[in-house]
Amino acid sequence: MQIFRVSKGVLLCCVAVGVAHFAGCSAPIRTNEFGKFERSVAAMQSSTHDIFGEIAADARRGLVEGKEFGFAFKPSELMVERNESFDYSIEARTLESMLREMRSSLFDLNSSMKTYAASLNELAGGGEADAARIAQLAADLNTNLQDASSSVNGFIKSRGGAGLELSAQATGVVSTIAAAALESHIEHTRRQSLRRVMSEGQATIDETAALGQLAVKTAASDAYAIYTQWFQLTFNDSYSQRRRTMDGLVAKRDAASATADEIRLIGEIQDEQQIARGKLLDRNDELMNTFDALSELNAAYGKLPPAHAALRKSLDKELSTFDSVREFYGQVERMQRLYKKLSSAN
Amino acid sequence: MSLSTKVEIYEQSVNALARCVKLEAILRDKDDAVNADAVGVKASSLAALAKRLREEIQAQWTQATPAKVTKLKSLNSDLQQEIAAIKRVIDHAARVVKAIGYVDDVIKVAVGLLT
Repeated sequence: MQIFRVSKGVLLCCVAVGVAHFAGCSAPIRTNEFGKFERSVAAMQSSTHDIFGEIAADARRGLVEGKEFGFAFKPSELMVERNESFDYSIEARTLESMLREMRSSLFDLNSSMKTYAASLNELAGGGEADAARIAQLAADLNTNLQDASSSVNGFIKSRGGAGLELSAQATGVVSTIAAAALESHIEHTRRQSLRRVMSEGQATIDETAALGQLAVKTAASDAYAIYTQWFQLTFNDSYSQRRRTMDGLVAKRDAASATADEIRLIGEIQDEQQIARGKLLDRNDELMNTFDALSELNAAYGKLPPAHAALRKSLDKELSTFDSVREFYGQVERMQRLYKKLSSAN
Repeated sequence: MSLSTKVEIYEQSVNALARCVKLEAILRDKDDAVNADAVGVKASSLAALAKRLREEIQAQWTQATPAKVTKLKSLNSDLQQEIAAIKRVIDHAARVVKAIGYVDDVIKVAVGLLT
């Protein structure tokens, strides 16, 4: 006796309608986009760390060369004071120390954001691994049903009964239904969880990105302040005096009245000025490169909240009728493939 | 004053400081020491303002950061719980499939007991 006489076509259609209840109402989760989001956040973290490190090193160089914001720290202000065991402090609040502190806090902030982005990607992108596991479960269920059916059938016959024959086709359909229902449930849960957490998290992402941008803008002003201080120290009154001295000596040399010492001094001043100009051009390049890098970083922080919001919105995206049909069709095709795989295994 | 306003004023202060320094250099090139010194004094007061603003930005920024780190960690913890919940559902389904596999053994035992 066959207890499972419903045709596989009818059954598959019933399953498809059930699955479409979940899957047909929204677009598939854009797992690639979540992966890109995670990689972008990770790249932003390392870039931020590198750039802030470079500006802090530049601030240190400025401090060694002379002043900072027109202020020269005394050695006593820069001396480390030990408080307790491993606790220490430095009286001077130097630009380098502030930049390093900001860099360290940014690292913590970006690390937390990176971990969050990785978890989003894990939740969004776990579908493939789960689908493979569910397909395996369906295959195992199919085998187990076959074995159970065979044993029950043999047992009934041995007791003089008519037997209970569950066909390979029937077990295949049952396994397919179970797998499709489980997969749809999980996909639905995954989408709902992402929706909830990302909605809750949007404000935090907005605020975190704003904090990042403020740090980047502050660092750009720091870099310009360091450059300006160096310029002021290099092209100061003494530089102008040396230039005036040279102008006078050049006039004497041209009038053939300069002494050998004076001619040597002209050469020395010319060398000094060339070095200073060369350093100025180098400093200009460094500053412009720093501004370019910080500008990119500022833009990246600016794009973070809309990217997060777009990912969140993609989870809500209503499909057009055509898309819904395509989604529905795709789901059915997928089930059919799974069904064929299970049937051929019997 | 908000942090973003301070960052804006700091930027303007540094820009004004740079313009003063440039003007001072131009005046010294023209041997106008009197005006160059006067601009230099203005530059010093702007530098002091910029330094004070920078320290205030640092304090305010550093104070705002831990709360964001805590919130991000909490969001991450929520996500990990959701991931674990999905895993539990699949694990449960796997246990059900495994249980069906034992039916065969149960029947064999039953047949053995009856014969």
